[in-house]
Amino acid sequence: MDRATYLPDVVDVSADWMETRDQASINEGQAVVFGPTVIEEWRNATDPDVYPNTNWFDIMYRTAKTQRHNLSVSGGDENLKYFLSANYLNQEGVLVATSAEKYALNTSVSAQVLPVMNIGANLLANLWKRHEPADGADVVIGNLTRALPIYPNKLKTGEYGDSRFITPGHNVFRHPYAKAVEGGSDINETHILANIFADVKLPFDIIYRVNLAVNKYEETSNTFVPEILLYDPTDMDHPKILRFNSDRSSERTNRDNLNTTFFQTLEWKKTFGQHNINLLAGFSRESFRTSHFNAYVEGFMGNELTELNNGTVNKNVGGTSSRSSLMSYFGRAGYSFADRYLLETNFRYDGSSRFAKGHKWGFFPSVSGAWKIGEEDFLKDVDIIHNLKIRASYGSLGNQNIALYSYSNSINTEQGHSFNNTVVAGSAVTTLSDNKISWEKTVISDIGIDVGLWQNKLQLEADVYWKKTTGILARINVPAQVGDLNGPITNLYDMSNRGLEINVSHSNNIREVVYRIGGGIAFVHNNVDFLNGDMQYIYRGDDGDAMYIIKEGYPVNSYYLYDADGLFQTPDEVAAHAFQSAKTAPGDIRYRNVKDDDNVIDSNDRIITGRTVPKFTYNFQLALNYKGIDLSALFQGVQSVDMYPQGNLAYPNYNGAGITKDQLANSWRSPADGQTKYPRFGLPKRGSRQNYKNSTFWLRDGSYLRLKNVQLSYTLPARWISSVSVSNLKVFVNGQNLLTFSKFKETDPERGVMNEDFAEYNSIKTITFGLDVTF
Amino acid sequence: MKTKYLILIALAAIFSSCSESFLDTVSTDTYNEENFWKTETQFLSAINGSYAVTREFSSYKLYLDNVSPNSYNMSGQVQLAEGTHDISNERWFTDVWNLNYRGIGRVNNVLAHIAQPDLVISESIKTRITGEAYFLRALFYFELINLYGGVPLITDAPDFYTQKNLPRDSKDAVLTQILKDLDEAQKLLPPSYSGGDIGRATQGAALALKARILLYESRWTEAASAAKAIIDLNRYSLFKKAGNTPTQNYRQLFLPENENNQEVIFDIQYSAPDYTHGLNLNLDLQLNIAPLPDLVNSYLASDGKPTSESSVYDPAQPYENRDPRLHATISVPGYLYKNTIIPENKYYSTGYAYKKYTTYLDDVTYATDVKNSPLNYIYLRYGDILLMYAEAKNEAGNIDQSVYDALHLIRDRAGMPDIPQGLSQGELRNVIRLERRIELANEGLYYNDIRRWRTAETVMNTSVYKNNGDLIQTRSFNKDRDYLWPISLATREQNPKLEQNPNYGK
Repeated sequence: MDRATYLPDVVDVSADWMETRDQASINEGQAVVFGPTVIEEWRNATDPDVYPNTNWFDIMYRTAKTQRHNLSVSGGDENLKYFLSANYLNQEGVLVATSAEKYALNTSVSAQVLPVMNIGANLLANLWKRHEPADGADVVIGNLTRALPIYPNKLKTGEYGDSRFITPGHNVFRHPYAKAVEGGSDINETHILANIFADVKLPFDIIYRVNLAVNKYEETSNTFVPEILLYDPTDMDHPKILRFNSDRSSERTNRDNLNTTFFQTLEWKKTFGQHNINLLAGFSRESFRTSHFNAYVEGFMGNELTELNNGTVNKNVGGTSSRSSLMSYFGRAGYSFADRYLLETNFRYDGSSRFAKGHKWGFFPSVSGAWKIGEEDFLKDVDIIHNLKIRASYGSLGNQNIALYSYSNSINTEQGHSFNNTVVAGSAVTTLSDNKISWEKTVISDIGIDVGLWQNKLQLEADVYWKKTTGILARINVPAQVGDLNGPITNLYDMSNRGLEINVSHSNNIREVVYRIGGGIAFVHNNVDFLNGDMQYIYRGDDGDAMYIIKEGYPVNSYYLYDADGLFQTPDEVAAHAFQSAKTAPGDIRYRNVKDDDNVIDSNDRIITGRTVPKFTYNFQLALNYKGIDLSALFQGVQSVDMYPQGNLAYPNYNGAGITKDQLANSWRSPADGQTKYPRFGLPKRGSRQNYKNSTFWLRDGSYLRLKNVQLSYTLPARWISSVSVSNLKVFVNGQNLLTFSKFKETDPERGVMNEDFAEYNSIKTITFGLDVTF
Repeated sequence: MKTKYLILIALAAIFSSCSESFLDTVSTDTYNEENFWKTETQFLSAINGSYAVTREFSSYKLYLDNVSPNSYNMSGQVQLAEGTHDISNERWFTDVWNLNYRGIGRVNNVLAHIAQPDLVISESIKTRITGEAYFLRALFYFELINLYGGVPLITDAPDFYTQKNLPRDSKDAVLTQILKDLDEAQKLLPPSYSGGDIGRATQGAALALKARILLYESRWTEAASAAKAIIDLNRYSLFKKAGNTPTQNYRQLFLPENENNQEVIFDIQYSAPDYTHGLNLNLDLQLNIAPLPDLVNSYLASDGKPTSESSVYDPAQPYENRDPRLHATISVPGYLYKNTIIPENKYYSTGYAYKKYTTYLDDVTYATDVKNSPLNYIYLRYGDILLMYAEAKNEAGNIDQSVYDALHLIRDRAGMPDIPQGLSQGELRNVIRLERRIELANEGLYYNDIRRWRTAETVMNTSVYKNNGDLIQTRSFNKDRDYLWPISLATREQNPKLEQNPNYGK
């Protein structure tokens, strides 16, 4: 059973919302939308069609059921081994009218065909069928976060309801329920992974290994956008057509990706007395082909026949394909003495098609060593020390994950135009390029220690590392006067991550209770080391101001914000403070005059603050076993990270959307309210936006602790079940994301930190009841 | 034996797979600059790609009048209209700058490459494309200096390292380049086109743009002679159709079936289904540009007198006996539009809605809102030229019969009586300014007019009301600051060398 972890608690009493909306207009110096008469009428009315009080989140979200079945068989003998499995998943989405069905088949076989040769194959096939709203779940969730309580869902007559009021930013009601249940997208994803391998023993104990793999992914989606009418209950004769992303239409898209891998190694191992040597040389190449096409047509006679052939006008077709490739030489040399001193070196020499000739190749060596002190004679007899190991490593790796052909000045041919209603081809350079780009390189230095005490009842692992990334591939901001071009992707800046990771665990038993507890913590400190003395800004929000900054000496993507200093309470406070706006009044945010160069709050008064990289993450686990009863739990936590939710429901009355109960209760109305969580009501985006500048006022602590997983199971005693030839039978109940502790209440805290929008598919909490049978 | 074969196979496999060319992939869906800028087709597509930028004018041109006494937007341009704008709270300050430089970059690329000596394309196409590029460059730079004053003057193909830190040039320097480009364009461009080329820049377009720029610069004598040169071409005339009423003539000038008519000198071309704009929704359903009562009231009575002085005007029926352009431009309550008698409370923003620049007709029923409109936006039309001519002549103190003749043509097509003869320069100025306001209402020109007339500081320091008398906005205009837009914060962050305009903060 699945439920959304977090849903905004919206105001669903229309009259309450209408009052805040009118108050916002008054505060902005605009005419009110409803007025006290209409609001009073609404409060006392009973007809739910004309005077609805709709809670759209209740309508759109549900407790969803999922079924999962797994079946696997394995067996074989020395010469032939096999494994077969079949999985089936049938999942309702927590959002209405979404569902998924997944079939997975997995086969692997290996055979010793010659004394010197072992061959085998794996075949994995997944079929995933999904149903989504025609505009996609994200768009419908976006519509949902904008649906107001004054909109009716279904009228008594069965029709979908429409809004009686139009407000700025909300001229059209995009009925989320109708958009979710009418029409839709059926998406079929097929994923096939096949590989064959052979291990051959060559003379001199050399082992040759070759692996050929084909990874094929295909996605076909069929989307039908129906024509649905919405009825204003007070004007049933003039229904409006529900607004989807497109008019009534059918669209088919096909995506076809093929990835082939060829991988081979030669390996040699030898032991001379206490010396162990191990050498490996390898070569691999991978090619990727992606292609897609789509076909679109409008002009359907009704909502019944939905095939492309049933459409007649505005036919539209598109498609493209691309290729890329990777090639690597790699090797390893390992040496150990007496299993106490370990030394290993690795290298990779990687080539990528994503870079221009002369810049394709990167060399990434690494070396590591370890000393198992615990094995030394002088510690062998120390009883409490079971294991003690010191490790050190220095390694490098590369990243080439950028768009294809970023190195070449390409001409964008999608810049068409029309003359006299005749379409003509058009093209332009829209993006600059840097043809010298090459691999981004990360060098990691790590020192670690592993300790096991009292027969490993207490174990400790600790690592200190320094990770330095140079030539980070990123797009540079270009002043618009240079043809308003997208900046080139270039090896732009360097940064380092210094970290400490510690994991501790303890296990023991008290009579028949076996337990294990453990925990870990990871600290990281991020710093931008080099950006050529320059700054890069990431712009977000309605003002188009910077929200994040990349600057030498600060953590990457730090917030760059006005520094809020509470709310003005009186006109005198406003007058006494530096000038913010001609409209500033009590209940507005007071920004700190950081750089006191003049008596004006301006862009000089922004500060670099906050963290998009958490200060530390941690986890702890617990496992108990008593006579076949198992209990396990895993907690995960993230500490000191800042989130900046923006837009619908994050700001009250944003662009015609509604408000949450928290905002209703905690917005400033009079000096008696003091320092409230929200400023006085206003019209973010559509009004004077002085309270909605990017400022620390809206920055929220995103720290959380979550019970990620908890499971209780009971394994039946063998003697009860052996009579029915079952070797193992376990019943279990499992919960995921059941508990979350966080000050962050706006939405699920486990989310992309730099994703400011609420409208995303929610994280879910799941309770699973299961049965595990082994024959 | 077997193992030997296996070794051979293995080694063969290793070496066969090491070919470097495996990493040389080629883009199959983009040209790159090495194989572009060679053929006529490519140059045509590059100049077309420059025109494509002009379509984005729909994001601001008409909306500018929301910062004038003509129009009001309850959900946009709030800061600019109320005078609470700063360097970062109005997206236009960044977006309009960016989109015009996008156009400039594209035409500079065309001009840089079409000058290659060894290029093999036909001379006539080369000449025309060069002329089009000069025209478009002048157009984009004019949009910029009109709103921001001086801007960095860049005439070379985009180059990050040499251009990223360039400071603003003086407005005069940019203006000189614009006029030079227009003179070039005028020499190179053809007088007209046929078929699928109609809509490209013409000689007349270059001349008309020059006239507008000179007018905006108050270079009256030159503006008058540029306007006169267009009149003397005898190529353009006011749009009229036999059998039409004046209201029909004026309304149909802005309908899709009459695109590229004899009055159009240069327009921004749109077409369905590919290249449309949303003005049908913006003007009608969403009322993003809504006519203010102040505009409606300024339409004269049908006897040519203000409503306060007219004997045919009846306050009980305020929309009767008015300038026929009123009902051709604006939908008012109680009258037929979209085949419905418009109810009193229909237009919740100001009480009125613009018809002009929608494709909706009075007597046709629409089952649903028309989202995508293919209607061209007329950037320069002959009616405007006539008014430019009259204004420039009057301001130059050179009032003669030709001024009255030009105004007569406008009034005649509108179905309005002629203006009285023998007016003083001041009286004539008022007549011409009102005529521009009415004739060119909702064409995105009035904001420019009140700024160049320096009347914004009066007419924008007022409150505006809905037709029922409700206060809807208290406006403010700072004469020491607001005649120009600021360079936006984001723009200056990218290039700190750009100086800010006076009295805008940091």
